[in-house]
Amino acid sequence: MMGHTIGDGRWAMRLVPIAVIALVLAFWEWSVAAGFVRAIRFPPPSLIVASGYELLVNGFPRGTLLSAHVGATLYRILLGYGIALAMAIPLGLLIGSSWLLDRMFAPIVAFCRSVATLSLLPLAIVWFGTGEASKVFLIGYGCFWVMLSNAIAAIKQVDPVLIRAARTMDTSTRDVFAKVILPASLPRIVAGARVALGVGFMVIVGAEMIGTTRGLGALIMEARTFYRSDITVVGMFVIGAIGLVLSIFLSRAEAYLVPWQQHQRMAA
Amino acid sequence: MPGRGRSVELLAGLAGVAIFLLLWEASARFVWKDPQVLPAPTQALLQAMTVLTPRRLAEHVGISLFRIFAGFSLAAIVGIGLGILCGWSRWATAVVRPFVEILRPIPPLAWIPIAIIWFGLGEGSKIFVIFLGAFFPIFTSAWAGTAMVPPVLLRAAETMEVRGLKLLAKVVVPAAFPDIATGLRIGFGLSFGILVAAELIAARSGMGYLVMQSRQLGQLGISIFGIFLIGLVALAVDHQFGVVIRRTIGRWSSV
Amino acid sequence: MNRREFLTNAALTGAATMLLSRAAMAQGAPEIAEISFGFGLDPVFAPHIVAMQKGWLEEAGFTSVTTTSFTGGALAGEALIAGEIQLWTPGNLPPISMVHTGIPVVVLGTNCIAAAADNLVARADANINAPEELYEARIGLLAGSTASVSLSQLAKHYGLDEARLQVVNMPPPEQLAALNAGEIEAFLCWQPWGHNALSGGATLVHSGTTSGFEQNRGEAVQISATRSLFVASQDFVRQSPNATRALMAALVRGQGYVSDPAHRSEVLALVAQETGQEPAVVEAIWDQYVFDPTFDDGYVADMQTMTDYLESSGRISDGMDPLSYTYTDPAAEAGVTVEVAGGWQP
Repeated sequence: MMGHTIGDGRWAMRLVPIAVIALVLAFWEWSVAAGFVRAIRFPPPSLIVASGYELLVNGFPRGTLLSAHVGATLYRILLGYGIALAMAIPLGLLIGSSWLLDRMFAPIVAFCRSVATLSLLPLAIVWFGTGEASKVFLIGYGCFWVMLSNAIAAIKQVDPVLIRAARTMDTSTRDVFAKVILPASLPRIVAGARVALGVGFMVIVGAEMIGTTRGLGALIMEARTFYRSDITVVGMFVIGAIGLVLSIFLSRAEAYLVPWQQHQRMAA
Repeated sequence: MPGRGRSVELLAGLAGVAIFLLLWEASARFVWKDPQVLPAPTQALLQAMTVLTPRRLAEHVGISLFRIFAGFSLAAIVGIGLGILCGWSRWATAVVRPFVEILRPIPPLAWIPIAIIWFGLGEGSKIFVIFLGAFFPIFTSAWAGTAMVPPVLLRAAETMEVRGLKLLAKVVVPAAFPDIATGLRIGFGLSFGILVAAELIAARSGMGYLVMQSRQLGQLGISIFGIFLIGLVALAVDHQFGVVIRRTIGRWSSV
Repeated sequence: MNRREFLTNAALTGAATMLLSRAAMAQGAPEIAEISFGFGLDPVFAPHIVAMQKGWLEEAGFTSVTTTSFTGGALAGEALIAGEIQLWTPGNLPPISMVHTGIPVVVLGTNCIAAAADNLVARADANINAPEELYEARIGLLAGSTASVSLSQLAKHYGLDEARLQVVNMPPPEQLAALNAGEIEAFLCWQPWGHNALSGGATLVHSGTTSGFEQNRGEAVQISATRSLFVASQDFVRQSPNATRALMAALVRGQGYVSDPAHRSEVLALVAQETGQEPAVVEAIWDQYVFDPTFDDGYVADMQTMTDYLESSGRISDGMDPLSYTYTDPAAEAGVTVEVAGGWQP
């Protein structure tokens, strides 16, 4: 397979997922039309597109457009995610480098990582009020602990051979860190950033339960409250699409930051 | 010196937890002062002890662990399988990754109506939600680990004429073990985090149920106790995880 | 109708129901023997609890009656749609939303009138004594709940501009936490949250039925149209008419039982036990619930108020006539007074 021209391979690779999605949608639409599946339980793609349009133009509830929901959530996620990463990566590097700190913090990290966002709602209100700060906190909380865990693991898994090699060349400790350990841990840090982004999105419904009706999480709550399963699905698609776009950004960032990390071209 | 190392490690961990608890107790007593706003650990424990019998407590912990293990195991199998597949094959990556990246950010609370329709109100829907929480970190780590095998290992294997599936099984996958282990550990932690959402679906017991039920009844102390309980159980299991990982993989890689 | 008339009716209904349920049984056993109720933590579930405890459902031919508790609002409705539960007892807002989305459900009757249980409470230090002072308060409210309708009605009655009210969306437990922490000055919610706030030192600004404002303290002002309804899916009613009839008979009997003052302490104890609420709390809020299943203008008016709110707040378009999805026959057969007949037929 590797022998074929790269051009053909790449186009085909891009088309396959699109083709699969198209097939699934067509089958779905058909099964609702044919009566095998009830529209209430599985809103057909045609209804979802129509509701998506309604959401774009009229909004739900009427007056709050999709763009407003998307804007509100993006703001909160980027802020919460950004702050979480800015705090977690340096802290993770620090903790991962020290055996003592790692052992001391391991229980706290494992504990805090397991606290559900819904559980934190009352605390978020008390500490940050009912405005944007509490939502940014709740989103950031989830991102922080996951990113921290990944950053710590990233440092610990740097190939010791590299470090020893650098030391034999009389590299200063600071340079060992900045020029060897840090770059070597970048790929795993980026992978961790990807997981943390997912977690950030995962908690938006809980995070946006307080003090707002704008936002994709709040939209999903509204849609569920009023039994508009079509809008719930539109919301899910929009969230998924945004997540996909952001993940592509992350891949681009990875390619820029870590140009030497070739993902292995193995047997196709 | 393994014995001494382990006791220092335990002390360090306990010290960390003790400091955390003390800070909480102090701020609850002297800063917030209102148990309705944030109960101190002692207050929360007291309220919980008056309502929960040890047997009921064991019930809660037991059923939650069952759900978590079931959902996590499924996520581990599918996640590692798909992750290794994608790390190994560019075709698989092209087909699978877009779906994963689209599904990853969708909140579990949005999945609940679908979960109820697909799996009913029983254990199935709860296990499904937990699966969703644990799957993505496991997949990402397995994929990253498989894709990031140091080229020097691959070239060494090549010189020894090890190719194809043998390369995969004997070189690539073992090289990915540390990453897979990290992914499993984080996925496991997230399973606990998602437990509360999962047990919203018509549960009658469970630690997440305890948190939400007591919240509905205005028993904030028990709710906090439940959160702490989840954290403690997560901690205990995570510690065991770490021990197992260090014994198996820790021999050749620092984890 | 007033309380006394209802109680007389209830007594007669109780007797009639016993005869009628025998008659219903004669018509045929329920088509399905296992049913499941959506359940919750309010005292509104008293009729269900009594019917289960006294074995009236077993008498009617159901071999297994399970309750499924839901801590989240939308979950019970989703479970009904999925066919996981057969009977749902929500407030009167969710089923109206459902019907307008095209989900085929039908209202079988009123479980209770819970208007008095909606309470607008405020921190004592917020000093809210007049309607206009509400503009300065941040008011906690669960968006899309029956409480939001009550606030809207309050604004209408006292001539307040709804758009100027600072409403902060959050679920009830967080409303209480926020009130205690001073993040909001007031909230409007159903029980037991209002009661919990009052026990913590808050003041009652307005209840669903009575004013607490200085200008008209104690005056009967109806701002709440909240009812608890019996809702089932249309499929269930069509496929299992006997089961529907038997179910309603048992529940109406339960309503009669819990309304009878002679059974008060027994019922309170049962409710406290089954819902996990403190007995003192149940006692304090009990009288705010009126378990009156009568189909009258009041029912239609309440449902219309809810429908109008949904339309004006942009959640639905083209409000439907409430009677078009109300099925009054099973209740009528159970002895309920039907002054306004439902328009739905299987």
